[in-house]
Amino acid sequence: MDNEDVRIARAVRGDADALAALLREHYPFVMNYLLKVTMNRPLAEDIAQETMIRAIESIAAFRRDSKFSTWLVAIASRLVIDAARRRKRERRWRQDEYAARSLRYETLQAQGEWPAAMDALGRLPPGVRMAILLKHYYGYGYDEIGAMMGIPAGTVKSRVHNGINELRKELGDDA
Amino acid sequence: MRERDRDELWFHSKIKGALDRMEELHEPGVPPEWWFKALVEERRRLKRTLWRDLGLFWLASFAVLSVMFWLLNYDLPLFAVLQAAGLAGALWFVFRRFGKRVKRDWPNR
Repeated sequence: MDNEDVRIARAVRGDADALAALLREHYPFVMNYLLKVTMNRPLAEDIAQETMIRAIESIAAFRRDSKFSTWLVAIASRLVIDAARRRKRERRWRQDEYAARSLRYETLQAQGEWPAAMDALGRLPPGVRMAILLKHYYGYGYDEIGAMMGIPAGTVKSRVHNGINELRKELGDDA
Repeated sequence: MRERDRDELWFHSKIKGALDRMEELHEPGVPPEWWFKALVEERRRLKRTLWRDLGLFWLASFAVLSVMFWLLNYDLPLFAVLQAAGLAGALWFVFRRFGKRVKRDWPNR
């Protein structure tokens, strides 16, 4: 058993220090994922914190049939989907637009350019963007992504495929 | 080459680099260790409190129901008096709580 396995075993048995250390270690990974999926820093920070809380509440149910990071990404993905539904209902698109613009501004300040790829990715619906990122950026399988997002693997496949076609069109690369 | 592999190659050549750069630029601030420990302790304390309150609620319910069933079998008049008192108390509470609110709202209109 490596160091992380030992810590996970201790955390599942109720060791608060082991759980706190595990969550701290995985926080940047979760936060980076959420920033890419939401493209909204305040929302990503809120969901990252909520992910930590959900993980604390359900650590005893963690069966260790997947990696700890995968389990956290699954929790975070469900929370992103819930937040997207809620924000759509509450019509908070203006706040989302402002957050996306602020991220774009921060990036422009730091590196002087905002790649067209990010614009195209940002225009995709959150569910499609999430499926593409999980598949092609993080390398998860369709079944795993389906389980994370609560949809059939076939739906994930079509979302990824259609999303990539959409990105190709947006970036003028229809070939 | 299969279409799926082509999609993956395309993604890696056109999108992944931009995402990697974004990740480098927007390094998340990780809260200090004490924050995670405090969060774990706080959630555990809340969970313990919730179970304790739930336990107390079940105990109180069990006690009240036991007394009421006992009275129903052995002292029917007292049972009826207690039921009537309970109903009167509930009605008093409802009128006091919601009746006042209506009264309070009128002067503002």
